[in-house]
Amino acid sequence: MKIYADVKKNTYQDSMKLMRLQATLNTIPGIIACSLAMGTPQNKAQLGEAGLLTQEVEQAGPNDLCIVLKAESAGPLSSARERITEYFNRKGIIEAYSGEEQILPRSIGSALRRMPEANLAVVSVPGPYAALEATKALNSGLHVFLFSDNVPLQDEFELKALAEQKGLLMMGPDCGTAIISGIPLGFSNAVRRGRIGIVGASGSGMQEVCCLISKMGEGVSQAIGTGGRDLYKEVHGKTFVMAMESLLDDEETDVIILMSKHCDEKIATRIVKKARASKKHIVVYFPGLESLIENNMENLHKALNLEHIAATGVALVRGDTLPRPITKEIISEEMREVIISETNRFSPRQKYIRALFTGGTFADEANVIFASFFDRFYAYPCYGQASCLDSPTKSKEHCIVDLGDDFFTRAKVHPMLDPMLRVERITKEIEDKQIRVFLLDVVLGYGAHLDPGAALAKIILDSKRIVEQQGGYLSFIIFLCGTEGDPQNRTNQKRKFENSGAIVTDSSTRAALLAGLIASQ
Amino acid sequence: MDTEKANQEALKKILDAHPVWKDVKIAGEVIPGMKKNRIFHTGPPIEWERMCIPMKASITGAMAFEGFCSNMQEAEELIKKGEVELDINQNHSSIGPMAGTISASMAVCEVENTTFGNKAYSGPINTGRKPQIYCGMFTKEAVDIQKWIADIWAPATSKALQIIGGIDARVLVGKSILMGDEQHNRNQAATALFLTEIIRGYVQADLPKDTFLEILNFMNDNIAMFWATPHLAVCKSMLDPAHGIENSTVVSKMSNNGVQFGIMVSGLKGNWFTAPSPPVEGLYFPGFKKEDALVDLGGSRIKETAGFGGMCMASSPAMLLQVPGKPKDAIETTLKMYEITVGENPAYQIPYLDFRGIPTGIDVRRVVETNITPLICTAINHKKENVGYIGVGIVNAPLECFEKALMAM
Amino acid sequence: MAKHDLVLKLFKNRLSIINIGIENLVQHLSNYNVDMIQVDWRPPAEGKPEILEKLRKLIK
Repeated sequence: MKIYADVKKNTYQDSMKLMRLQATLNTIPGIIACSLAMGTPQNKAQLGEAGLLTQEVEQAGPNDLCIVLKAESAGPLSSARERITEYFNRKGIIEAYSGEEQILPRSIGSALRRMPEANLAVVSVPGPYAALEATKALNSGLHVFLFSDNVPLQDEFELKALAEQKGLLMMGPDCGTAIISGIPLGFSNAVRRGRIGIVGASGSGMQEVCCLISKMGEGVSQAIGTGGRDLYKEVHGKTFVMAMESLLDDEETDVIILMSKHCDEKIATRIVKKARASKKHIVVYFPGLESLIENNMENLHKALNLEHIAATGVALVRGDTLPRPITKEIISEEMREVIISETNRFSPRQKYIRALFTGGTFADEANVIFASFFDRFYAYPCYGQASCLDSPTKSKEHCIVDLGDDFFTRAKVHPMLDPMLRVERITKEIEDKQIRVFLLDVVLGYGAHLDPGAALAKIILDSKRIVEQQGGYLSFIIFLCGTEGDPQNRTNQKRKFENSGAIVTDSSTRAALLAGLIASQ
Repeated sequence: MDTEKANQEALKKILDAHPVWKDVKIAGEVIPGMKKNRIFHTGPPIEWERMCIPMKASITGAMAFEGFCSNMQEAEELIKKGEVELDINQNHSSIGPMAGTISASMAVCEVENTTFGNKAYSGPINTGRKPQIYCGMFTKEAVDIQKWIADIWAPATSKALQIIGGIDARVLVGKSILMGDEQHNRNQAATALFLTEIIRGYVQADLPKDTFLEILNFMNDNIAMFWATPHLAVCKSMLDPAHGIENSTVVSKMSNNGVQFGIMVSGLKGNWFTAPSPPVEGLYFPGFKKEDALVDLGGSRIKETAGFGGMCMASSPAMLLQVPGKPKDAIETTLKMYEITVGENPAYQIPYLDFRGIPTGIDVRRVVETNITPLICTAINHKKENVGYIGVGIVNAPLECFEKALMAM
Repeated sequence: MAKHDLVLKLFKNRLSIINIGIENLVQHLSNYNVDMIQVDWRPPAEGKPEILEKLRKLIK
C-alpha cells in the first residue's frame, strides 16, 4: 500500500471542483482512498478519521490545498497523480459560446488553442498579408499550404528558409494544388490513392498528371505543390528538395515524379544529382533542361510532355516497359479521321491557332509543342521560342495566352472559377477571321467552376455558327483535366462539349498536338 | 532574448505574483519620493494647463486636504509658483482610482508581492457614493471623509491587519472572482470576504465600540466598491516585476488622465504611448445624462492590465447588464480578450468558462493584429468639478496607443 | 531526427487543418476524414503597411 500526500500552499480551489475530481480518481482501479480538500480544521479532522492525515497535511492552513492519495501500489498512484495534473492544467472553455452565432478564432494562435492537434495551415489571405500569416503558422509548428499569390520573392525565400530550419513543408506561395495523403487541397481533383508521389512547381500540370495516372488505373501517394517560383535561383528549390527527400523516405511511395516550371539550371542540376543518388525510380520533367538527364542514368527517366510523365510513372510502378512519348506523327496516325473532318471545310484565309489556357503549365506545354510546328508563334507570357505580343489582350497569328496569369487575374477572378472570361475573350478573338482552330483547357475538380460546359459549349456553338455563315469552319480542341470523382460530373461535361461540336481529347498533350496538326495542314 | 521568450517570462512573473495586503500607512511615510508639498495624480504625464477640470479639481481637493488652499484658483497659483509639485503616481510605486490624487497625509494601502518583495501603494480610499476627492471634488465633505479615513480608519485597520498577519489577496480575489466579482466595477464579494477576515483583527485591536461601529459601517455602506482601492495596489504589485523585460511586448501599465489614454510596455521601459481619451459608453445615475460626462478617466486601468475588470466580465453575471446587447455578448467579449493575451492566470478562475484562468499578459502585437483592444469597466465622471462620478460603463483602450508602442519596438 | 521527419509525420497522421482566408477553398473537405477550423481573419493593423512590416519583424 502506498500513500502520496502533497500540500499546495495558498492555492484555493472551489470545493465542488475538488469533489468532482475526487470522484473521478476513486474510479481508478487500485485507488483505495483519496482526498482533495482545503486545509480547514473540519477537513483535517475528517482526514484524520479516514486515516489520511499525514504530517504535511497536519501543518496545512485553510488556504492550502491538501491532496492525499492511498493506493494499492505505485501504478494507480501515479495514474491518479497524472489525472490531477491534467485536471488542473485543463484549458477551460475555449470553444465559442454555442448559440445562434459561433465565435470563430481570430488568429492562428487561438485556432491552435482550440485545436492543438492541428498540423497544417491553409492560407489564402491577400498577398501583402500572406507572409505574416505563413510565418506565424510555421512558428507554431504547422506545415503550410500557401495559396495566396503576389507575395514578394524575398518573402518567399525567408518563409522557405524558416520552414527548412523547422523541418516543415512550405507549399507556395502561389501554390494552387496539392494532395496530401489523399486529401485534395486548393484546385485539385478526386484522384485514386496509390504509390506514385509527385513534387510539382506547376499546379495545373500536376492536376493533369494526377488525373491521367488515376485514369490509367494507378494512384497518387502524395502530390506536393511547391509554388511556381520555388526553382528560381532566389529560392534555391528549398521546398522541392524537402518534398523529394520526404518522398524518398516515404514507405507508401515507390515512384517519384518531379515536375518543374522555369527552373534555374544550377538548381536543376543539384536536384538531378540528388535524384540519381536515390534508390527509387524518378521521372523528371524539367522542360528546357532535358539535357540534364542522360540516357544512362538508371533510375532517372526523362519525360517530354504531360501525358508522357503520367504514362512513364504508371509503367514504372507496374514494372512495364517504358512508353514512348506521343508525337505528332502518332497523333497524326491515330486521329487521322478527326483531322480530316476538322480541316476539310475551313476557308483559305483561316490560318491560325489560338490557344487560350487557364492553367499555366498547359501554356508551357503548348509552347514547346508549337515550336515543333511553327516557325513563328506568339505567347503571353512570352518565353522560349515564342515571340512577344504587344498587348496580352490582343492575340496575333499563332498565339498562346495564359489567361490565368497575374496580368488578367489581378483585377478579375481566375478563369478556372469563372468561364465568362474565356467566353468574352473568344468572342473578341473571332473578330479576327483568320483563326482556324482554338485550343482550350477545361479544368474540373474542387475549386473550379461547377459547370464550365454550360457557358463554354454555348460560345463554341455560337462561334462555329458565325464562322460557318462566313463560309468557313472553326475547330475547337478541348481536353478535360479531371476525373469521374470530381464534383462536375466529367461525363456530362464531356457530352456538353461534344454536343457543341468540339473535339475532346484524352490529355493536354494530345490536345496540343492535335490542334497543332489541324493548324498546320 | 527573443520576443516570445520575453513575453513568457513577463507572463510567468505575473502568474507567480503573490500579493498580500500588509498594512495601511500614511503616504508621506512610505511612498518613495512623496513630500509634504507634492501631489501625485493619475498618469500619463500632463501639464496643469492641459488637464481636464476634474483632474485639476482632484488636485485641488488633495491640496485642500493638506490645508494649502480651498479652491481651484488658489491651487493654480501655488502650482504655478512651484510651491506645490505635481507628478504621476506611476513614477512612485503608487496608484489611485480616477484622478487618483494622493498627498502626503493621506492613508494608503500597502500591498507587498511576497514572491518578489516589491511593494505598491494605493489611495485615496474608496468612499462609494459619498463625496469622492478622486472624482474631481474639493468640497469640505470630500476632504473631511479622507481626514476621518486617515485619522480613524487607517490606524485601526493598520493594527487589525498586523494582528492577523495581512490579507492574502491572491486567495481572496481568487474566491471573489468565483463569486461573481470582476474586480473593477463590482467588488462586492471581495469586500465581504475582506470583512469576514479583518473582523478578528479589529476585535483584537481593542477599539472603542463607537470607532469599531463607525469603521464597520463605513465599509458596509460601501460594500460594492470598498475593495477597489486595495485591489489597485494588488494589481500594481503583480505587474511591476513584469515591467522592463527586454523585447517583451506585454503591456505593463494602462492609465488615463482624462485627456490622454496611455500605455507602457514591458520591453519599452520609460515610454508612454498615448492617444486621445475616448468617451465611455454607459448607464447614468438618476439625474445625469451623456452630455454631463467627462471622457474616460482613471488610474484603475491597471486592473484590466492585470486581467481583471473588463478583461474578465464573464465572471460577473450582474456586470453583464452593463454591456449593451444580450448577456451572451458580454461573455463573448471575454472570449475575445483571450485572443490578445499571452496566457491565463489559474489563480483567478472564471466558472462560466469552465474555470478558465483570467486572460493575462496583454500583447501589443496581438492587439494590433486583431484590432481587438482591451475592454475596460469604469465609472463615468462628471465633466465639472464637485459633482463626482455619475454613472458606470465600458470603454475600449484606443488602438492608437498599441500601434505607437508596436512601432517603437 | 532526420530533417524531414515532420513531413513524414504529416503523411501518416490525420490532417487537422486551420484555414485562414477563403472559406470556399476548403469547403469540399467536409466529405473527407479531416478536422478543420476556420479563422475569422481580418487585415491586421487596419492594413497600414508600416505596421504590418513591423509586425512581421516582431513575429520572427
